[in-house]
Amino acid sequence: MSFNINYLLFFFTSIFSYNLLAHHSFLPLLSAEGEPVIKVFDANVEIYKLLNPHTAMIVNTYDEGQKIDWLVELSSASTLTREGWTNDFIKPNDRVTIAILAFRTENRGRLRALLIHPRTNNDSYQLIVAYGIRGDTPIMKRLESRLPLCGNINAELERSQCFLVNNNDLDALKRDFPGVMGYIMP
Amino acid sequence: MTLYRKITIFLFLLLGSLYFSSIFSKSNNIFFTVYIGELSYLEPINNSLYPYEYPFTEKGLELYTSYDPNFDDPRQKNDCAKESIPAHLLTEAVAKLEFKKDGENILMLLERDDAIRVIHMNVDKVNENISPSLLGYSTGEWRNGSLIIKTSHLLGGVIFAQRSYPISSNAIVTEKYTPNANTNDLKMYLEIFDPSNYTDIIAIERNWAWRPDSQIYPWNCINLGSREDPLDLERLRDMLQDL
Repeated sequence: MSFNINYLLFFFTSIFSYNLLAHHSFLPLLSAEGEPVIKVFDANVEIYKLLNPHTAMIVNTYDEGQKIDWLVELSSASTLTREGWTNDFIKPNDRVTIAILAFRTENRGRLRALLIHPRTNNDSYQLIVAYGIRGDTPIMKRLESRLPLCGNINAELERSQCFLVNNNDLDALKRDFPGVMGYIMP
Repeated sequence: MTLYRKITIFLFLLLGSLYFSSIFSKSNNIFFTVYIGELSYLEPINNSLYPYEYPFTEKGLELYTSYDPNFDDPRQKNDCAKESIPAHLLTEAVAKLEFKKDGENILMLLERDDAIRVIHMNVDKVNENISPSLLGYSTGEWRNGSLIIKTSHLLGGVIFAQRSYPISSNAIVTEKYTPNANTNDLKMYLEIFDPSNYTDIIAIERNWAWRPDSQIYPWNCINLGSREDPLDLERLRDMLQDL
């Protein structure tokens, strides 16, 4: 299976072992080597709803003109609202680049990171990092040292985070961490 | 002893008891509010330098090794499958509760599943014919400013959601909630006595932050569909758009 847009297949390294992931409620798609798989692609947000026990997003992507939809799951509304997420944090029709920890069920996964493209000419990109990055992790530290915060997430909880990314920052991230969304990969 | 002296001592004792009862009443009222559990991955208390080892019995180890949360957790098929005790209190993320008075009993309202635990106070003997349930049957008492809750008649399953440590239907779960005098936060000390699965008590601690300005919101559970079956995106799209 291949997309003609930014679509890549990455494997978790030993930093993120299967054992750790097994504590959470999904069946990860595993590579031939037995490692959970991260998929990255460009998409448009169709639906985003804060829900219990899993917030849901449906995103549309295209493979050679054919529309392919994905269900992306996030933490509960109860937890995300505590972290600062709101119903308009992500908007329908947002153009995004998204990294998903794929489930074994086709076209379904858990959000790892989301780059929301500027909504207007005056906007920056917004990089939201979630599952697998949240907390006191090397990737979070890397991002915190380089990017300003959006300011709408409660950093004290050390879970998800939102960063503002201007074009220069994005170019620097791409240069320093090659690959599509290489900057949020292990 | 003169009458005057007797009256003085009586008044002193009366005022003292009124003072302490007012303090108790005040702290008691402060206790009855909303708390949010610290966000952390909980493990049993470990006093050794080595990683904690669960003191499994032979049966406990067998159950542990045969349970795969990726397949055996009912939430893999149904997001709205109900949570049990003690897992409700140990979940990593969704952890909000409220203590409420209910006559002589105490209610513990949990945001997850809209669950309500009745803590029966002043119970000398628990009726053995009570049906087992996910939340079990709980009795409570105040001891030195701490609320002690003892729960029996559980269905059994696993201690933590999405982890494999078993708990039997004969287990006794004891919780002790002690308010911090300065912050009003609660320290929870939880013990699991389950001799069929463990040769020793499993003890876990968690802090609950005092949040009187918060409230328990309706859970409004939405099942996104089994993770074992192909995704019915059209049905899901219609359902989400109608919300």
